[in-house]
Amino acid sequence: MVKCLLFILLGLTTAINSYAISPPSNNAISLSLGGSSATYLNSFSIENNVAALAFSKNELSLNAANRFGLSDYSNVLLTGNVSSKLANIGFSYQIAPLAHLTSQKAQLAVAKKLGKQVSVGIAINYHRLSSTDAYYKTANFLTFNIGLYYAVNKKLNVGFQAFNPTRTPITESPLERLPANIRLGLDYLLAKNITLYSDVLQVSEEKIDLNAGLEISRDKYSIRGGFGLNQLVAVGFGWKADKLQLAITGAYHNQLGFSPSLNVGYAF
Amino acid sequence: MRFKLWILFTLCTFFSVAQTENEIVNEFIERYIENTSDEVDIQQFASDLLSYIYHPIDLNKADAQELFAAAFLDGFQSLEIIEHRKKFGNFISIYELQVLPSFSITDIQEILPFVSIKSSPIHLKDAKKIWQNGSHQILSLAELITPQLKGSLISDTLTDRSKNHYTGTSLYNNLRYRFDYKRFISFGVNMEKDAGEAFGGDNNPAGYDYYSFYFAARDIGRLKALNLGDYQANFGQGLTLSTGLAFGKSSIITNSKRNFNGFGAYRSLRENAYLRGGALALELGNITTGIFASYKKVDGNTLDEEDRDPETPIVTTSIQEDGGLHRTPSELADKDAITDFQTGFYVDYKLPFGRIGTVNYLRKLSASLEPNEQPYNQFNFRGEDYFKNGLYYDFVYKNINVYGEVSHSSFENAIAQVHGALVSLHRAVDVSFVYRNYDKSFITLQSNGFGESSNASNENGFYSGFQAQLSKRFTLLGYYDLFTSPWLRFGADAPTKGNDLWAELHYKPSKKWRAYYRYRTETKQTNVSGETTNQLTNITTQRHRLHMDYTVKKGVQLRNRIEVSVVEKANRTSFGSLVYQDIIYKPFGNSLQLKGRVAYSSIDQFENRIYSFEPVPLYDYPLFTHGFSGLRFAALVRYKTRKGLDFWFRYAYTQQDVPLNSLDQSYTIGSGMQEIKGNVKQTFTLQVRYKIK
Repeated sequence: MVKCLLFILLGLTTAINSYAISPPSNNAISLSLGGSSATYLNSFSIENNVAALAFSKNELSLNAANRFGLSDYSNVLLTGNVSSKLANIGFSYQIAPLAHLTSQKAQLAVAKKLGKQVSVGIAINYHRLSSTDAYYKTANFLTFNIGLYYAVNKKLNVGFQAFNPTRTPITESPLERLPANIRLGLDYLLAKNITLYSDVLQVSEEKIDLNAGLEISRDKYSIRGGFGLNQLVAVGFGWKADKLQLAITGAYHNQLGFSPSLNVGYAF
Repeated sequence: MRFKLWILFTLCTFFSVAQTENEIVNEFIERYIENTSDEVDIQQFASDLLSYIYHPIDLNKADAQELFAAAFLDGFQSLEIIEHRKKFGNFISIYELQVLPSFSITDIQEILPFVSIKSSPIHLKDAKKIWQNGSHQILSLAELITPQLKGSLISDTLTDRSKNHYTGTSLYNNLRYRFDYKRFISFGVNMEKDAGEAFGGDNNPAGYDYYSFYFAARDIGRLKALNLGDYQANFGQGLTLSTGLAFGKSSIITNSKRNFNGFGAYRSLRENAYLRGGALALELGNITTGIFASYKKVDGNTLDEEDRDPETPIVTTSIQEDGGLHRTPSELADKDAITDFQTGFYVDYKLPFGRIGTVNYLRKLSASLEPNEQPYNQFNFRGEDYFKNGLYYDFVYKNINVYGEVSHSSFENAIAQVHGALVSLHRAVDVSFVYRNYDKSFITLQSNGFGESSNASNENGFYSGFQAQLSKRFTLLGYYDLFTSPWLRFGADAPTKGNDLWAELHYKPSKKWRAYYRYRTETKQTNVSGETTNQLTNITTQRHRLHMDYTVKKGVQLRNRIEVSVVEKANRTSFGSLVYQDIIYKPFGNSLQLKGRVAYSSIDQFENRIYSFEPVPLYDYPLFTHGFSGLRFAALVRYKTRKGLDFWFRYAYTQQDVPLNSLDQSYTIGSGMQEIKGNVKQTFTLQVRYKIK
């Protein structure tokens, strides 16, 4: 099976030799896995695959990231996941505080397990864009994302998410829409401590993108490495105590440069 | 020993899972359609499969011809059944098939609805019993597209009726009645109105645009077949006479062989793809012989009467053997413009190791077919009448099946021939070979030869396919096909050559989930504009597909697919991709079913288009073309009552991505009369079926 997966990944990699423009990873773990995140279980799933929240633990996490050393591309994201008897509730708030075009997003999500192996989820997202010198001035709009997560067996999990499938308009004149993105991913336990993650990401008006990464975990420590066809290579390191979790990642784009990302999480 | 086997087989039956006939048929259609690039007559295929469900084939009595003709058995399985019966006699249980190498328990469960080991008696002497014991079905489908098609919108506002417009609304509707008494007697009526066609009024005073009636009796004593009304005729390997559609190249390597079975009921809604009149076939010992006559009107693009010299015959540039669209005044002008008379006979001789036969027919049209003068169609048939003669054979020896056909057509005395073999080399390895050589002047009308195109003309080629069970979990299958066109083709101003490779690796670790990876690469030659003349260039299309299918628990199934297409033409590369998620949910067993799909495609140009099989009502066309970038959503609800009533409701939503420099208002989907304003298209479909017995 492992050989097959690698063979297929290789085949698809050969096929998709274009450079797609994909949304950046929203946290250090996803970035270190090349952008793969449809099946990674943590509170950041609210954006990557909202259904995965149902299998994630209760936690509150913060991510701070910068892309390519540009202040406009600095981002802070706070996420939370709380489980109840009925369902899991997720929430998040993110802001790009140093950008000329300030973008903010608040999300509220519900994810529910359907049996032991399957979960579904939906998130409602409020977006606000504000700028003094762009034609947006101020734009407020709502989007949604829906997800599906299923554990095929003990080794294989699959996740699917559609974000903003209706391509909500940002401005009416000229008409500009927020892109839709469809994410289909899987993770496979290659060996006791080694997991392969891979996502296919389809953003509207862009080429399909493929990401893949490996996570090697031992006791409290994790090492991750991954790549995305969007000319991205990333390496990350993770550490967790009983309740505290840290992850730090450095990603390199061969034309645009270096991007750091840091996660701090607290499990409860 | 046989008693122990019987115990085992009986126990196995407890594990069989009940499915509705709709599901069974759709699963088979999906398997076939998803694996072929050719157009397939879904309605005829579904009707044939349903006939087997209502009246299963008797594995102990069916001869080689019947077994090969059964779409749910592949050629190798049929070979093994024949060999097993020779060695051990009749089957005592269907589960005895397990001892045959090409049948897994899953295969047996899949074919269970179609097969039996004993036939039920016939009560032909008592007509009342036939009526009482037969089954009746009434089925109607209505489909509406919104927003309205441009052709229908023009029609609403048009003052000058001579301008091109649709004469009817955007509503599609069909109505069918069908009666079956086992597999022996059937009759029915089919009616259809396509979207844009008028219902009633001056343009269609009879109401529907298309009416079809058929009566068919078969396998009653010496009567092999009796057909009245509309019927189909398919013989040999489809070179001489084949009125239906046949499967093209696919990963199902046994599809390389045509398994035609003579005359049959015509239950499809494909207008003009049938014969109309009568056919009779009798079985006289080892010889089966039949005659037929057909008189019908077909659509044709005839020149206006005013332009014609009265001394010369009526001339048509084309005749429509399919389509049947009569929406605009110009399409209506072509309707039934030509009369078409055909008559012929066949003789089939059954041998201990197979059969050999000949089919011969002539056809006379009321207009002379004169295609536009182009270099590529210089050798195409021209004239009012022609005849064809064919000789076909189909031999079985142990695990080898050799078959073929040689056909002669009167125009230029052209010859087309195809010869093939299915060989089971080992318990786990089967291979298939096909050689074809179709003359450039061979008449392609009513031909369905195996090849790169469905026309049995202007093509030479060699196909080799294989399937290998690598282990319990892995199966590898595929084919390689080399082909040439000795004369020009449409879009190629010189003789061309090409090749086609298809490989699939299937992984099935458990009953709950399976996955496969498919790779296909095809290289053909086509025109590119040169400075003075067109030149040939290679166009290579590569396709990668990863598909996963997972049964969560009884009644809940999930499917995912990623597909990528890469087209390289004249140093330019374009891409297409498709990602989708399917959910199939049956909350109350088979009485209520819900199927849904969310898909997103990104397509650079139409050559990168990707096909997928969507959930649709029974008989409806399921293949959707993702030839655009954007979202596709489709949902199907089926509700089955205990009183024989079935309802299907389908909703499909397409949202094409609008480029940033375009406004929504100016964007359109489709072209010509089919054009829709905006980037959103919605389709509502409702189908109702009432079945007695």
